[in-house]
Amino acid sequence: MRLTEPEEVKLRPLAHTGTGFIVTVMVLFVLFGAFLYAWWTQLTTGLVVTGLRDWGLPLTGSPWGLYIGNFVWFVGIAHGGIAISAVIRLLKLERYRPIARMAELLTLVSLMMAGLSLVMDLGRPDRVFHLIRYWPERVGQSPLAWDVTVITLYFVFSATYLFLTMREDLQRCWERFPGRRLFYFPLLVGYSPDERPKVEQIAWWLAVSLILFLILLSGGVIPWLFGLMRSQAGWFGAAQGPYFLTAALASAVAGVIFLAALLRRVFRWEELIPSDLFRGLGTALAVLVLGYMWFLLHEHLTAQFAAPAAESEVSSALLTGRFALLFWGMFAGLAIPFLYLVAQAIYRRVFRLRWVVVASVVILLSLWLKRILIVVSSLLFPSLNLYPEGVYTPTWVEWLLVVGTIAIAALLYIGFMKIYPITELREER
Amino acid sequence: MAKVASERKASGLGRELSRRQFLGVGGAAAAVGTVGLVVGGRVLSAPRAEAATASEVRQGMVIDLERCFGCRACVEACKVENNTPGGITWMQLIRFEEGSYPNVTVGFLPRPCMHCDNPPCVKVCPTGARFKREGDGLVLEDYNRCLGCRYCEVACPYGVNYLNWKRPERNYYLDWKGGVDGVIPPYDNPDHDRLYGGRLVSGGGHFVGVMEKCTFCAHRLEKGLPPACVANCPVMALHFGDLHDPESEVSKLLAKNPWFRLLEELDTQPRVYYLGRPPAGEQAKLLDVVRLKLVVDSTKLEVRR
Repeated sequence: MRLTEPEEVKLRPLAHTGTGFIVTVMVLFVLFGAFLYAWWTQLTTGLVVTGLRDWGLPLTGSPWGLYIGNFVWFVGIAHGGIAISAVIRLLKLERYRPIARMAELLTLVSLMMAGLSLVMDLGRPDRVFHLIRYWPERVGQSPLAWDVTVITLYFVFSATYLFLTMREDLQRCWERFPGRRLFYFPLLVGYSPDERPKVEQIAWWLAVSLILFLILLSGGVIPWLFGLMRSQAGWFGAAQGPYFLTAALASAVAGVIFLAALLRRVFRWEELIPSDLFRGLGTALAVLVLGYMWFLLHEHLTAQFAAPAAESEVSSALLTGRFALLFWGMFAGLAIPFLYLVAQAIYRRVFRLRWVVVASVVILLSLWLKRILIVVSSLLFPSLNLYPEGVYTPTWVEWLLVVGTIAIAALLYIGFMKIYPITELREER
Repeated sequence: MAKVASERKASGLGRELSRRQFLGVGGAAAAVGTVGLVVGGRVLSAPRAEAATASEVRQGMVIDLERCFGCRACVEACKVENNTPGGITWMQLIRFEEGSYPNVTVGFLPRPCMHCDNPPCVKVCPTGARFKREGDGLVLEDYNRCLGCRYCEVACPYGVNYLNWKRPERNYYLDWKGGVDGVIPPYDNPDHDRLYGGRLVSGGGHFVGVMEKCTFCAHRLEKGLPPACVANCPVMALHFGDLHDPESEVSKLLAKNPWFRLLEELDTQPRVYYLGRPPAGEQAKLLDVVRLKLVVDSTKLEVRR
């Protein structure tokens, strides 16, 4: 089977290996090595090497910290991909088609890293399968068991979706890249050229269910992890569902913008991915960030106006107290990019791809910080006010593990791109 | 490829469902609905171990704050009896002062686990390691099941849960294994090695990375003894017994004195009752707070100021 010229363009990541690739992979492997060393230290010594400690007396610490924040952040990003891809399919937004698979893969990789963050946080990672072993008796009550359930289902559905929509492309690559057949073969079992209509049909239904899962996961079980805990001031509340959902979708869109722009640049896909597409995504991001800031206002107005003492204490610590610098830094990291994204949505001449990408990255980092603040600020201010305020300073082990999850995500992503086509080959739509 | 486009269109909602598709989709929807009902039903009927049958024992503690003078004998007794790791106090004494000079009073509040009748920690546990024991309603931790996710600790409003941050070796008053320098023998208490109700629930520091907390000395109750903190209190400020039995010491104390429980507004229904005046919340200032810091590669603790 001869491949057409546009198809060859799309297969650049598979066909060419430059020094950039080698340097990037080497740097990532160094970070991965650091990750392994840090985790080894944590496994052999215990969680004492982290900055986490029991809250209350006498250790006055925070039992959850960077790892759980990182977990929530990665789950948020995970929505981008499949959600965007599903929306593209359901609403037939053909213009966005080239970034669909990039986004899908982002979902899978982020979900894996979310799971890894959770395992890193466990005191006994060797017993992680207890989550499955005792699942039937616990799923009725434990929000963490709900999380495990929905994340697993979401992963299976996303992977199936990616797998089904990729088979046709793999068939086309079969002749072109014989060296990679080992990786194509298991995914092509039972392939027949006339399976397309059926695959489209299945993918349509999968897209619908993935949208529902998205709401259930980021607007449901993840916020319920916090929103149902009446014991911690600043968490308990009915608005956490939509609040978390806007953050998840914002970080997801920001992640896709960053990734698509990066790949567009590296593989010179200017023709394939028109820059106008980023303007549309940037506008969507602006709307989501506005929604998030709206919830932020609600949260702090409620806490400041007439809330129980413990609630307003947490809110004040964020607005004017110990966390003020981090909080307002986070806020500026949302508000300033937001203003730019609105401006570029209204005035086309203000639009610069570079600035949209910078805005997205700043929003991504701000939302990461926000997740950490959600987790830590509440745990450091006990509802039982006989306890003193807590202290939490992450250690090098935690930082290396968190950076490591990002490095592993990048490695998995790059590895996939070297083996499988990262954009859909089919043109005629 | 107009054909493909038309096929794609046909896969949308606008198309009529064939009988087979209808059965498939309908079946899936019914399955999802059933699962939803089952899960929802279980959430709503989450076990709130109410004052159960009259025959059931309801172990509880009564702490007389008027008698307590803050000596921390209960804290010591707990540490020795359960051999808990350094920096971990299943029984914690909180000292505070109220009022402003010259009208200042000093108060003391011993804080064991509340062994709630509506325990939030049991609800959130993803493995069932945290459970409320049948029979006497103690809230216990199964060290063989625990993952160390610390969700119970986050869900508990009283701050009674403690993780084993370090390995069991060289982290104790008496080491769990090996002993020290061939002079100090290893810790030995067969009561903590045996199972109670088929589960490993008693004693501190069995494994690294699992949650532990006050057990009301489940291993001593088995022998008819009161918890170590109660037995060691020099002024009889701590009392223990069956709250269901109107003739018990605790029931009589509760009948004759005004009492309060901590954070009752959260509806956890704690089984630890305090006699005396509750601490005045915001105005109570902590006294001589000892904030400890675990040191990674030493058995020593540092005091954090």
